[in-house]
Amino acid sequence: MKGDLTRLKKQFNQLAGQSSFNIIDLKDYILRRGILQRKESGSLVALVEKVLGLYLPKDDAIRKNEQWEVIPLAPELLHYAALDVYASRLIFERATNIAPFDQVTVQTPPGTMVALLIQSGGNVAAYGRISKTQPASLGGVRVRVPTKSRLVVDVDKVVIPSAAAILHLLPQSPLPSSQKTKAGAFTLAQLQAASSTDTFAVVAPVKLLTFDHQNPVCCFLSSAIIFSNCILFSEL
Amino acid sequence: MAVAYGRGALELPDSIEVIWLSTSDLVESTFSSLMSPLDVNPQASLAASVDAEWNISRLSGVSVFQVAPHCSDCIYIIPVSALGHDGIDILIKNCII
Repeated sequence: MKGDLTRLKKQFNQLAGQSSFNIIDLKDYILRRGILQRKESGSLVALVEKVLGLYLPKDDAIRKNEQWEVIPLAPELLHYAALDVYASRLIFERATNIAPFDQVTVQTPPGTMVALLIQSGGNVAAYGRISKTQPASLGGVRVRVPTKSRLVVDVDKVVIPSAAAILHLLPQSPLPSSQKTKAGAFTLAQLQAASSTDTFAVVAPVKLLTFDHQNPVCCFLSSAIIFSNCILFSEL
Repeated sequence: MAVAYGRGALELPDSIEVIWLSTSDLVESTFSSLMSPLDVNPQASLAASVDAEWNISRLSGVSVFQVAPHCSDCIYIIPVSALGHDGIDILIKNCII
């Protein structure tokens, strides 16, 4: 819709000065729910396939023609236009239905497979499980905070070693500047190196955690609620 | 092609009514009616999916504008060329765009 809106703004002066649109971009909406990764296509065809498990027919002869301003609109164009917007509605509604299960909270059961993002809505930095032990603090980092916004995650796969573990701030004796992250925090690689086991614990803000939809079987093992979510997602 | 991978094609259900709104009067009456619950209850909300299509030669602007309110089984197709500035004002006033 962002592209459509840009076109409309150029077409109508009233919209050019319109600063606050009550518009949700469908791709952003799907991304925020962890159903789609940033590197994946956000085209309507791709979203229909990803979210609904269906195929959206896109006849190039209809899409790329000069008849969209011929009145009355030809029946096949009318159908094409209707199907496009109907697809958007279905995707939004389906994503909304699974959204309540898609937000990791401090109540999310231990063992649940999660992905740790580099930033909210951003790329995945690591995969792991919510730790069975949620102490008051870990390695000097407070876990239990009044906002109930942190969880310990047992990371078993690092995707971006240089990503900052933003709550694990560097100690007073600083590392060489070349090893510092911009956030002044340890990187995931540094925490991993300091661990004597295959997995290592990270305190993460829940806003940077999403359910790991790539591992539905693990979701099944985690909890019935997440199982429902993943089945819904994978069957679509 | 995806059909070949075993996926069914998305189809418009028979319950969906596609309505062509050819004039700004039709747009006004349709959306005024649609939005009237919000006049009664300002806390209420109304969601609608929107999309647009345009002629391949168009360098800017769109040709038709589609609105699918989530509260009904209607899909409205609006030719922007027939909509005019009044029609766009109606859509802005009703927070459609």
